[in-house]
Amino acid sequence: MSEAKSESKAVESSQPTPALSAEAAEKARLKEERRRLKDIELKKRGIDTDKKDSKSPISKAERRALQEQQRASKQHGAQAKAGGSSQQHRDGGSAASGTRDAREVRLDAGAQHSASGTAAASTTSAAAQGKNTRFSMANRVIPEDKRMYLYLHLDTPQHPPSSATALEVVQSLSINNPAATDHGAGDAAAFAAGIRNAEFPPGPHVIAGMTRDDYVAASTGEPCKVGIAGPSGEPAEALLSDAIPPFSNGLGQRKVAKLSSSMMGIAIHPRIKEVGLRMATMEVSGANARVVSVLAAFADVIADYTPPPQTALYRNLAPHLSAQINFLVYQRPMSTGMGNAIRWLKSQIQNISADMNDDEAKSKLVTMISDYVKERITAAGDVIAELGVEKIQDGDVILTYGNSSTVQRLLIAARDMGRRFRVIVVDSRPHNDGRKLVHKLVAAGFSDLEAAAATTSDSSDMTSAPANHSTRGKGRGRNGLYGGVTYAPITALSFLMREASKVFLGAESFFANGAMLSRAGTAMVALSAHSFHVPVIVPCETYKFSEKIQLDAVVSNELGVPDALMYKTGVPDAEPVGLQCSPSLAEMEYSAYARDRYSARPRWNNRSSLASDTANEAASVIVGAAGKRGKGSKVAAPVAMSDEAKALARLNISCPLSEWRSTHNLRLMNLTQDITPPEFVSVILTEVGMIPTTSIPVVLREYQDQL
Amino acid sequence: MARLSQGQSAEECSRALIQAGSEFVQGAGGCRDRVAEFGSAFVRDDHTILVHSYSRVIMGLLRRAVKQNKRFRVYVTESRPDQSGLKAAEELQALGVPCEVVLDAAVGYIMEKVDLVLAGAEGVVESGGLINKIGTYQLAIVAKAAKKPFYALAESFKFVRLYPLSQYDLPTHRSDLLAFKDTKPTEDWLARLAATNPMLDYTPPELITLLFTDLGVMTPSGVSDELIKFYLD
Repeated sequence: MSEAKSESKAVESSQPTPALSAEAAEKARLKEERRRLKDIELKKRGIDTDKKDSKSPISKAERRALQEQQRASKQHGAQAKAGGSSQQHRDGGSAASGTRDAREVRLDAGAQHSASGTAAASTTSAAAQGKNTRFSMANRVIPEDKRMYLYLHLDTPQHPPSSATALEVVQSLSINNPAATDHGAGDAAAFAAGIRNAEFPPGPHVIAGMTRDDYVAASTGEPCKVGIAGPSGEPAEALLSDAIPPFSNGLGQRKVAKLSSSMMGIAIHPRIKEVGLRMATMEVSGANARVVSVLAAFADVIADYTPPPQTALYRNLAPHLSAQINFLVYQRPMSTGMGNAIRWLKSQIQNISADMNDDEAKSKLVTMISDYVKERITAAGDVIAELGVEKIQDGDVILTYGNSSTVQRLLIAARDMGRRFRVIVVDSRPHNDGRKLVHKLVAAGFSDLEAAAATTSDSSDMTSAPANHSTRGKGRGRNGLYGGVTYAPITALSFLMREASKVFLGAESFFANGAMLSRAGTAMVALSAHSFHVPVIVPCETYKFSEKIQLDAVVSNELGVPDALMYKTGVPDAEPVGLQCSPSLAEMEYSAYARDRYSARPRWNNRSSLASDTANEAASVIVGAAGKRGKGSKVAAPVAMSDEAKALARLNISCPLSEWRSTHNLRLMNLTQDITPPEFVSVILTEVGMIPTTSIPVVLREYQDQL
Repeated sequence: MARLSQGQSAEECSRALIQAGSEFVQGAGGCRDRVAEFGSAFVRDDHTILVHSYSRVIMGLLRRAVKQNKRFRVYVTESRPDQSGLKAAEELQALGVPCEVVLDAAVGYIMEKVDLVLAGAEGVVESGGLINKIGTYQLAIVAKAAKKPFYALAESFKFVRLYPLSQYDLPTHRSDLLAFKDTKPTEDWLARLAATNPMLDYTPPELITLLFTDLGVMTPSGVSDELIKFYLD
């Protein structure tokens, strides 16, 4: 642990902050280069948008030159950034978008550079919803050799010996390493996270387009260019500009991909990269959305795949896909639905008869994939929505948590069917996905005036709504139609549950014992519903059923980025959630009111004034534990502050959480999933009907051949 | 219906349907025998049994138990409003079983003395819950509170693919039941009672100990299992 710590320190110091002028110059250079790349891209697109597999018009030499230039330009820690532009098509499910989408993942270097070194979030443009902010990790720079290993490991084509080294390095750094999981050894973990979040080194070993020649060179042991190749080994110039970014903030936990010799030299398809990154940045985050976009990407991979000469497709495709899957898993742990879909796909590949020719087999597989999506997800969703509508009556008060695509669809379907009911959307940090649901519901007219009349009053009556509503005629209560949307944090749950007549929850997966795996917080909502005797209805497609059993949420869980807890999310300009929630509140903290109660509030993180101010010693004793925690903490002077001082204070105050990496025994835990016991779920709506949680194994058994 | 074919005349069709119907009825009788066979093992000497309302399948089981020379006593609920419990009591008396009719309101009073509770079913739903004569739900709640086993008896053809979430989620639910309608000052409450009250209620699966069916003795979750299998074909 201490070793890791010292190492990380050394790393930090080894990378001096570039001077401002240098940065400016570099920015200009990057801008220039970006324009050039764009030109090339446009040119390329103009020529071969129709024909994906055609050779690029750019010569190999030119490409190399570009690589060189790009590498040079990025030496000073310029950061690449992925993330869709606001106009970017967000429907990961459209297979047609193909490789072009991948190319839209642009290099956005330079602009992100944050010299401050604190965890202040830097966002480039205020973008539409789903725009991800990036946590700057600029102060955690990884030595060149380490980076190389890491990325060599990522982009598998490499000689086995160095891959083994890479594995060691990655494992020693990995959060999966038990030594590092203890947050007491936070520095090791932090270092690993730093590596993960650090910028992608642009060396030729990483981003170069790889041609068949390169493959040959690699296999003969010459210094090789390892990297990303387009479909069927086609060098992908576009990829020069979509430098695989530092796997930005979305993920906290990655599985280290298994290295197997059969995967050596297999290139990752750009669509897979795109999908992987979208998942890593949480741009694609719903259980269904993830599976749909992954399957669409696989359809492209299969369509673009050409087996090596003299070999059979059905034999080579599976390992080829495995490499792609490894990449995806590295980006974000696989969800149950994805696992099931992938297992299904692999079994379909196995079933391809040997005498089918490659093109037939490929088109068959692609058709099967789209059928799977249609049958198991889209059509299943329709059936589920129908079942759900049956369960919603006029006057109901539906409580839901977060944003489940299935629940969303169901609620909107019910409204379209003429049902009038009120929706309570309960939401929680850090993702605040419920806002998306509110957005959709409002767009669907849930908050329209005619419906909103009854929301404000008569709430006590709502508890008996199912019993009484129908006596008042169709959806017409004493105060007119029921309707409207209420948005509330999860802290308001126990109050709101009183009003709810039904609870609809989204599920990520169901285990064979009937337990539900879902976004963190769901178990709490279900528990509350259970204790208030409110039925919990969970729409869930059967492809998400799992044969596993998990007894609690600690057995296996996806770790979110701890840093996500430090930030207000969902706002374009994320700022640390410190003592100030808004400037006005920050001022309040130091106003007369604050002096009464909080005069001894420490000003966290104010290193500059560490040594001074003995007058406040007494106060810091009062603060006690908090004062002891960080050596940087200090106590605010209980005197009225000038405007200037206030402004300064605002800059200085930040939550101790932002310093957690360097603070001993301060740990952040961001688990993203939890387990809801089966008895809290009243009914599961599936495409095979409404079933109790006890029937999960029955469905798994009876539909085995179809699943 | 599947037995009908294009070439048949209307007469043949109707004959086929009638035959199918009577086969089903006979089959139903067979079902009840099998329920009795499986369930009678749960009745032992010196047991006191609480029975709700009149149900042919319960009568079948008790008759079987008498034939097996078991000595037991039965409390039968009166089961308002149609007082079908009285009919059950008469039949039991004819069988020579010691019998008492208890008021529906006396179920709690009597529960301490009871060894097991038997209830029939109009329908068994996907969740494993019961739809049955009004009063079954409260009987099950009292049995649960007193920690007495509550057994439901149902032939498998009564399994239905419904999933009620509450009492008001049943297909028989009518909005005019117990709905605080305007009443005249001189209301004849007794006459009003049967008209404004429900005849059926829903007993959720967690209150049911076991189900005796012709497929065997099963837990409530087994119902869904059977239904999924049935509808899969």
